[in-house]
Amino acid sequence: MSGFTTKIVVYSLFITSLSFGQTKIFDQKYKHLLELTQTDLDAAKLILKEIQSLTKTIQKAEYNAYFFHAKGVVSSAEENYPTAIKYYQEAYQEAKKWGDHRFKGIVLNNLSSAYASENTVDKQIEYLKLAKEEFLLAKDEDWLRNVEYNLATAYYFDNQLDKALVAYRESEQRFFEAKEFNNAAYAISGQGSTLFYQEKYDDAIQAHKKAFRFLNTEQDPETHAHILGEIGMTYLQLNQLKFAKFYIDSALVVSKKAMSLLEQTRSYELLREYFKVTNNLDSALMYTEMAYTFGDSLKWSNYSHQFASVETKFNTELKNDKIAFQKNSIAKQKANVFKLTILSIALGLLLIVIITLLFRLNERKNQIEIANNDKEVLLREIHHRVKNNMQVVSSLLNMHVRKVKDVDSKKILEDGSERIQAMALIQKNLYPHSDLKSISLNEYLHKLCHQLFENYNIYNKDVVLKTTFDEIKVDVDKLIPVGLIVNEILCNAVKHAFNEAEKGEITIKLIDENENIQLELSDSGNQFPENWEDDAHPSLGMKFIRIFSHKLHAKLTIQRMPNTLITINFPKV
Amino acid sequence: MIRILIVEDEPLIAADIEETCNEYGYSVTKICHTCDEALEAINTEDIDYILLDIQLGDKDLGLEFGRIL
Repeated sequence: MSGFTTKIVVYSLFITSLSFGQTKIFDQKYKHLLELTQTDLDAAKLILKEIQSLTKTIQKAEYNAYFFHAKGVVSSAEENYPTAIKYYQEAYQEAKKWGDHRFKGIVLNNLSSAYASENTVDKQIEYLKLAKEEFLLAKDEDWLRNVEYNLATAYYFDNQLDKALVAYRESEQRFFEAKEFNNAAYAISGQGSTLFYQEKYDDAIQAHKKAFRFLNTEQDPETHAHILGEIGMTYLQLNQLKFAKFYIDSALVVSKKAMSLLEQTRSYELLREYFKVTNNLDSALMYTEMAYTFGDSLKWSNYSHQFASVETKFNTELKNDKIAFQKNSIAKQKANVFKLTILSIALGLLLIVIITLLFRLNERKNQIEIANNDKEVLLREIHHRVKNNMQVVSSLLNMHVRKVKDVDSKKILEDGSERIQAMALIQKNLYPHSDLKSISLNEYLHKLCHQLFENYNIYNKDVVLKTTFDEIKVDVDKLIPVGLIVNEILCNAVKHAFNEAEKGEITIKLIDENENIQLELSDSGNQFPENWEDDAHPSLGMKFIRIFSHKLHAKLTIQRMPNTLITINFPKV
Repeated sequence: MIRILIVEDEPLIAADIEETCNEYGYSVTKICHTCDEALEAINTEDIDYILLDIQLGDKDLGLEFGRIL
């Protein structure tokens, strides 16, 4: 609001350029002095001395009043307000003697300004009231409306908002009557600011917007910026942040255009408030510092006396904001530290869990390995026992053979013992295999054939074994029947095909036919007996071969060319 | 007459072997079921041959015993 006071003070100084005196020289010098106080204070002081001597010669209350008034104006210009007040008081006393209402009014107005500069608002108001009375008596409308406006502003600063509002409205009316629309705009805007502090925010915005209509924004961009700022501030209060930001930004742009340090500072302050509200403390602090910088510039500007309190105000605000910012930073840091701690703990826990899991997994793996080992040992043991039991049975039969005298019975028991021996051999060859789902058939048959050859003592009979095996892996369910079939055929070949000391050849082929497996057995010996494969009266060996073939789902063919060829074709799975 | 020591942990099999030996005209001095028994028999009996089961008991002790002999 200080911007308005400034204008009126300066304004009042120019208004005094009226002719009072009878002595023209005095009059001219007096007028010249009032002008010079604005531009060249030293020259003004020189003129003051001339006026002083003139006053002494004239010796009239009227000129004494002028003289003291001039002294007061110079002191004011020197920002020596207590002295200015003293001279204005003397001028007022002389003016009383003189009796000119208008001049009394002017002096009283100056007095109030000086008190305003001294921050004694009650005195300011008191003298403005007196001035108003004087101008009413003098019927000076020009002064009256200005004093009225000053009074409104003083009330406003003294927080007498109701009185301020009345005074602003009165001055608004007077300005309108005088068709001083720009000044009327000030008065309306003043009402807006007052309404703001009365917390009538919507009315305040209406008032400011009305002020716009009468304000000459081209000529007075500073006030333009001021009003924009006021609207922004009001919207901020209403928490309509988008509007607030728009008006504050506009205020900043216009204040820059107007080259108004005061309004720029104010815009920065408003921006700071905006960012405080939006909880962006980083930006808030930045704008506080900018406001502080501009406020500092203001201190050295021509208007410095207007802003005696600005520096302390800014210092305090800056300090408060910095403290708030630091608190916020500390809070953020604490929050970060807290988050970090939580994260570390979580990670730590996760690590522990993972390690524990890995440890347990390893333990489990070890347990499984041990269990697997145990299983393998057990399996080996079972195979061993099965084989052993078969041998025991075979031995048992052998012992029976010795007791039996009948040749046929002896033969039957011997055959049984031999078959059981062969089965024990087949079982024995399963030992090294822990995975019974996939056993190499070729390796198994290779071993089995040689062992059977030894068992049946075939090597001694000059019989050659020829084997051609494809690499094939089969399930144990296929393996044992194949082993038994091979046993039967070899057994038959040994017993019937070759006579003592006869030379011969046994060929065994194992062929991989993708889906199927073909086993071919042939011998060069004396063939099978005529009725060997006879369905009606099969031999025991043939019966066994059929049974095992059936188990394999195999196709069995027997060819009697010069040599016997037995073909067994069975599916892998 | 050739004297034979049979080392076999399965008594029935051992009996079969003994009968077989006798059938072929050998004399079986003693049947042992463990290595310890066999060691003792070696020191106390007159033996020409030993028929040794290589898989004695849980482990292949027979093989080891054969090596020691």
